Amino acid sequence: MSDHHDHHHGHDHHDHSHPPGQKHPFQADVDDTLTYPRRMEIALRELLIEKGILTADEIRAAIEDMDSRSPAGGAKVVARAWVDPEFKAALLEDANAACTRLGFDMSIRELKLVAVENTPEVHNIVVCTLCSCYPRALLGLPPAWYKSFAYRSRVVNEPRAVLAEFGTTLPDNTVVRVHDSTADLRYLVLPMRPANTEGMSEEQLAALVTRDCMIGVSAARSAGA
Amino acid sequence: MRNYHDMGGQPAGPIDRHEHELQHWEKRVEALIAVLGSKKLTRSDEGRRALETIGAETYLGSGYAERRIQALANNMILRGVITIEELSNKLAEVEQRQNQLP
Repeated sequence: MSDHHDHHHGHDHHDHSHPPGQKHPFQADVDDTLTYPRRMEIALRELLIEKGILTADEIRAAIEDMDSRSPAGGAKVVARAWVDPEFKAALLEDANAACTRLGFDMSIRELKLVAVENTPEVHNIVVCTLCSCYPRALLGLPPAWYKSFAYRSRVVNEPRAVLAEFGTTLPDNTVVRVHDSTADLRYLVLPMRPANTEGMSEEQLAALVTRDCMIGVSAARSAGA
Repeated sequence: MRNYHDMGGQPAGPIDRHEHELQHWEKRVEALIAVLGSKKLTRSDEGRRALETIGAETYLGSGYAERRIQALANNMILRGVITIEELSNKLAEVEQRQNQLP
């Protein structure tokens, strides 16, 4: 055990002491090896703080902002598009503007967001073959599989096989479109509204919208599921 | 010639669909990138370019946050925000602190 101070409880200081004889009372944690990249994170962060480039508070605030964004954001957008044809048209026309109207801060890193609509004829899937670009403003951080070499490699040339791994089977005549994201352009899939949801409220509808259906590897949850 | 990061269409095995909760240090890497981005001291395309020149061994052999932090450090040096000397001194200090822990 060599790295109590930074990884177990997120202290920014390394010079605190413990009462004599008292060990760290922390639970076992897998996050306990100070590898080279982890040392690099500590070193770079401390150096940037010392040089006055950024502050520990800014790092904390960025983590809070990160934690505040989740697929619930995207689900709200999708549910609104399902109930409000005008909003849907606006979303497909200019997703940044439409999402800003719903109260999302879309200004992070000045990215263009494009919403692509699933229909019985066309199914859309999103990937970033070159790295991991993802509509974080609406969905939060990407899942590990989205960043995986296997997903990035395969989804562009065998999307149906990849969909099958996610338990998704499409009719043979559905066109599958795979959208490759870039540093400046992100995609959000607008999934099809499930059947038998006519009487549902926007909030109930949002609960049917999963992260995976907004990436396009699955359909929205069915009503009553 | 295809670079190592350009893997779209390459053969690969099944997708590991396990969910991975980010560890705190991994979040700090993302936070560093976000804060520096908001200060116009880094950009996502610049981050990607750094990843594309970090070397196949590091890229393919590291976790996501592991390669991101190394790419970010390279970019901070390239931009002159920090120097190689400052960073290597700080790395040595961090390592020494680690070794002094009981």
